[in-house]
Amino acid sequence: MDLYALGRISWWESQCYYHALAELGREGLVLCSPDESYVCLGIHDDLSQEIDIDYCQAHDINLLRRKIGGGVVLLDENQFFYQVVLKRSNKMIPMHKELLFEKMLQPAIQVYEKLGMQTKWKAPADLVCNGRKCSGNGAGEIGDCVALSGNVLLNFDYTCMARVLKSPNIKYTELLEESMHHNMCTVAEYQYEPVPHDLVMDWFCEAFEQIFEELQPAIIDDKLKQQIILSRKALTAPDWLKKPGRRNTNRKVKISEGVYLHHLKNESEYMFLTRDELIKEFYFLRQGEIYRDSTYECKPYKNLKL
Amino acid sequence: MKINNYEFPDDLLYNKESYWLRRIGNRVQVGLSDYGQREIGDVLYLELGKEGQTIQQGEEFGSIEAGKWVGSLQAPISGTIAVINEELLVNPKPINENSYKNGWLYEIDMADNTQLNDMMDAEKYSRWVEKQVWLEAQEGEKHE
Repeated sequence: MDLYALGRISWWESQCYYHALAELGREGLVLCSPDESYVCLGIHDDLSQEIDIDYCQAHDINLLRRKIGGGVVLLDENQFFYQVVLKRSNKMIPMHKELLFEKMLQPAIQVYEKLGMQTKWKAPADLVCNGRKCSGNGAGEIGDCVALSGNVLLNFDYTCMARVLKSPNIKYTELLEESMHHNMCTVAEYQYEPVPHDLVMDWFCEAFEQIFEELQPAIIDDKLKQQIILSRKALTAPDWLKKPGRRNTNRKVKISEGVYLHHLKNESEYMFLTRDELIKEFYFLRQGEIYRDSTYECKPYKNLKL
Repeated sequence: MKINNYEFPDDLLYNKESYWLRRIGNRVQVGLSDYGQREIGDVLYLELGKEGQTIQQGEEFGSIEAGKWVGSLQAPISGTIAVINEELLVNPKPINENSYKNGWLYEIDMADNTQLNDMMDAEKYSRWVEKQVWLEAQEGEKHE
């Protein structure tokens, strides 16, 4: 397996390398980190529904839409990415696609263990530590290949993530941030000192060698360099970014697998957090303040009538 | 026909990409078989191509997202897309809950109806599915 141990690279390269490899029909393992923040949309996310574009522009946060699944993510220099590209004909790809995640996330589980975090795979594509999400992953078909991309959260800017997401009101943004703190975790919570990226890189190489046996450092030839530039153009093109996607009647943000923060407005305004379709926290908004109401909690949200 | 808890109506044709086809004159209605929808998982979103679009047999078009996986749709037959099931663009659940009725994906006016000879009937398809299930079980044992 060709190894692209790239280390710190530009924000757009951190998505474009694996897209370019897939489009060229080349298998590879990419390990890298971006040099600055950017918002990365999943292929079917709706930009106008999901993102506060004004906030992103005011804070120089770049936007990119990838060609694989998963939701909107804020990616930055405090994350480490592992990206696997395989030809569709590769027998390592199981028939049941969920098993691909289970297999390819084992290295991340091993790296987290070295960082003092006992994590496990939560289907379809999350890693969780003590019930809190510590890694997001997505995959899909690109050209003749399959690509899987995931991250290790060395640290995370919850405030910025909550602000880049489009919000019906400031209290929803605050609840978003709070919910992310409760349902996600990072390596920084488990380590006293920042973890060197080189060390994470070495651990990933060791772990992926167990899957691919041999990792050979790859040469970045001119064809790949050209394709990366083409990928950048394609993945940041205005029409591609604005492509309509999945829309919800009411605002709903996924915090982690099975956990959502909802907003509903009729004569009054409500916000509620659900876990596995049960209402866990319920709030109503009155004169700019939120009040919790336990009447609706621990009930299925599909039966909610307001 | 029912096999391993999968249902395959006898009046439909099937292919190895697990699409079903229902012939309506020179038009064919296409959907995902019971096996196909279970393999892919809960469908979250899809893009179905456009009415009037010409597609070739085996051509990839549109996309379908389930879990965190995105794949392409594959045309089982050549022709022109006549109708897409627009309800699925808003609510794709019928693909999983009612794959043979409300879960139909699109209808296509066939360019070459002899391509239907490439399809399997319910009995042949159910035997093919049995083999896939066996292979998946072997794969599962290898992982343990």
